[in-house]
Amino acid sequence: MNTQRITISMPDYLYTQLLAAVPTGQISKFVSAATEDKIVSRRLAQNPNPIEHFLSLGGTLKATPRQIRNAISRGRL
Amino acid sequence: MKNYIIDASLIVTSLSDKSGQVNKKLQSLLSNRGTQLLSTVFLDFEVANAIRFLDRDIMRVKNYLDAFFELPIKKVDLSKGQIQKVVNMSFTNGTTVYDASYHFLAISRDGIFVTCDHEYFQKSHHLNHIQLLA
Repeated sequence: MNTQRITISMPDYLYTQLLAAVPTGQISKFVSAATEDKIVSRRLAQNPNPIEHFLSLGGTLKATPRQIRNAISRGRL
Repeated sequence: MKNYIIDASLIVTSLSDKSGQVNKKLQSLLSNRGTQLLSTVFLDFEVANAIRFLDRDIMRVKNYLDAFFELPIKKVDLSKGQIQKVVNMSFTNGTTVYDASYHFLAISRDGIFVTCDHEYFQKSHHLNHIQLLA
């Protein structure tokens, strides 16, 4: 996955809590996950229709029909 | 009310569908008040497992599943007797029990099994009650 290096600012108290909560080397991953959560929550708030929300994700999963069939079959006993 | 039965291939293909064809069909099924969307209790696990192997990012996988779980699809549990019939179907047509269970549900509810699984369609379309998308 491509990444972008950014600089962000946050209150001291929050930074202290972040350091205490997240292992060294995992901060980017944690901030990315938190950002994605916030974006998804915001999208859901803007578009509470579950059908529209699901359909809005159409085309975002990168997979061929063969890969899809294999992935479904892979889970079967 | 017309019953449409959907499988994991339809849901997952919808997520990967850039042409919009599958999405359009799914939208018409989900939005039509005259139709009822059904599936078996396998659907949630099959969709979750397929997406889990197609996307390495756990947050994206969870987001896809959050959206999927909210869809108005009724999940039907099959009885032991019905499962025996599904097994018969799977032996006769050389398919998996999982795939045959969706098709069995369509036949038993006089509905249409909508799938994107070409391989299953080729083996079982003679049973009718099935529509291939994509």
